[in-house]
Amino acid sequence: MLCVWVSQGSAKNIVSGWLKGEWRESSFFSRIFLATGAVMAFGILFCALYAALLPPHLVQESDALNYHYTLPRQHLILNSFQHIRWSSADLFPLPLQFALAPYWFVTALPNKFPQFLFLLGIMMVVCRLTRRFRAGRLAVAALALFAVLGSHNVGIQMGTAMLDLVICYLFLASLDSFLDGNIALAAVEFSFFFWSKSFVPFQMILITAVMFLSFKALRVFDFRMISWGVGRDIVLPEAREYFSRSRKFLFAVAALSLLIGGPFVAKSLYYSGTPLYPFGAGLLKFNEGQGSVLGQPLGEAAKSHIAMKNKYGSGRSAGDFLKHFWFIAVPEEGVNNKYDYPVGLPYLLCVGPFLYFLCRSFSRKIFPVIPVFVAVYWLVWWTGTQQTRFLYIPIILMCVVVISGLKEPSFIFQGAVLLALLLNLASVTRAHRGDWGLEPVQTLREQDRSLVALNGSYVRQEQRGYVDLAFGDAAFAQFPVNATVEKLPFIIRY
Amino acid sequence: MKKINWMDVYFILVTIIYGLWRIKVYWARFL
Repeated sequence: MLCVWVSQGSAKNIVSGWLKGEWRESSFFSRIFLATGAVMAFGILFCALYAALLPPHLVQESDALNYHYTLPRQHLILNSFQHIRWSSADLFPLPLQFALAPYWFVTALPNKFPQFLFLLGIMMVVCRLTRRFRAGRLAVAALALFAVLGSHNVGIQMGTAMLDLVICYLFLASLDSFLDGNIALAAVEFSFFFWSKSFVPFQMILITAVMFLSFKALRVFDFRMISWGVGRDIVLPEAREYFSRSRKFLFAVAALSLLIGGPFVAKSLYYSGTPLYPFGAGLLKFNEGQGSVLGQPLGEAAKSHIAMKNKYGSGRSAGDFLKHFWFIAVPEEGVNNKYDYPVGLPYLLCVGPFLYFLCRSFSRKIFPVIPVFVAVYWLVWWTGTQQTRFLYIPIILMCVVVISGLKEPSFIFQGAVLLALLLNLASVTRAHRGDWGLEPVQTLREQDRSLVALNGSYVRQEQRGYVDLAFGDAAFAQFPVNATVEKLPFIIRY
Repeated sequence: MKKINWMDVYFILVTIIYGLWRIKVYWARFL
């Protein structure tokens, strides 16, 4: 991505044009802001890059070690797509993991470098979207970039093996490609996003339905104009063009979904009676030998997965809803909160103006597509698992909309964003400094070091067949694994 | 000097309250 962009000369042209134009005309304070922000942003990215060059081992990478890495690797070792019977997560849609696996396992120890590239991708897309909504101003794009890099929840996953930032990139890139008219690329990106997790298809269909119905309902109140954000309205010829693109886009996503999501849907249907395990496990019966899934290990694991929904958040009352706007942003005890990751200061800076812009659009009888999407996405998130790692998309879009919508970002706003960058630089440094100077193998968990040693003896002794292990997070194993100890919801007995 | 509008007041308040909250939680960790 980066190489193509740079090789096309885009980067050079943009930077040299900016130096001759905007930089010359900018005030002393603006230059200080950009230079200081750039130094801190590079500091954060350097820490993230250093962390990304190490193998997965951190406590916040537990999902990656649990199944994102383990399962594709096991399938590669077994040379089979058949269900790994001790793993319930093997019935999740995993096209993203399978697509990234060849890159993860090309090194001696599994790596997480692709996730860092997707982080760079998010930065580029944020810049592109902001410049699109704010007529090309690079300083405003830089401000949006600093806001994203200064977000604590983004900082937590930077340089790690987790995939939530990758999934966020896929959606944002799909939006950017769609706006650019590149429907094929938009459809590929969106298809991988759509099939990234079991709940995403439900979420996206519900959001689309609610947005469509609300648009239809608002037309009764004389809402005639549409805009993407809070800038200029979409005029009729453009609206026709977007509508035409939407039809091609939906057709392409449907076709690509057969390839990208189809195999996983088929596997989930066959073994658990639902196309999107764990939701609806046992509803349908496609396998003659399959009894009722309910009561069986897969059914028990499905219930356990769904019960995770209530593990986060502080409740679902109206009062909890109002309070959550603050509490998702701040730590409560220690470094985390009831919503898992604190989101940080940039979100707090943007949420107030965002609500103001949304209300202002409605008062002018304008339907702002992206702000409405953010609001509906948020409400759907509220009813599901209240983890802030599932809010990357609406929060980043919120920052883009607000920053591109501010007439002239004030020095107070810019100063607050710099403070957020500084706090996040401190957080990211603190999170990863324990690994500085260590060899990759020295960072591994004890369990993973023993797996690496076992790899050697498995090959030397020319062993064949499964190795029984008491755990299933065996991303470092280069042999077929049989996890023998049940640990719901991920490891099941069979 | 440029006038401060309501958004700037909001940014200042939010930043101060956020900063104080972070200090409170950080302090509690070390007590």
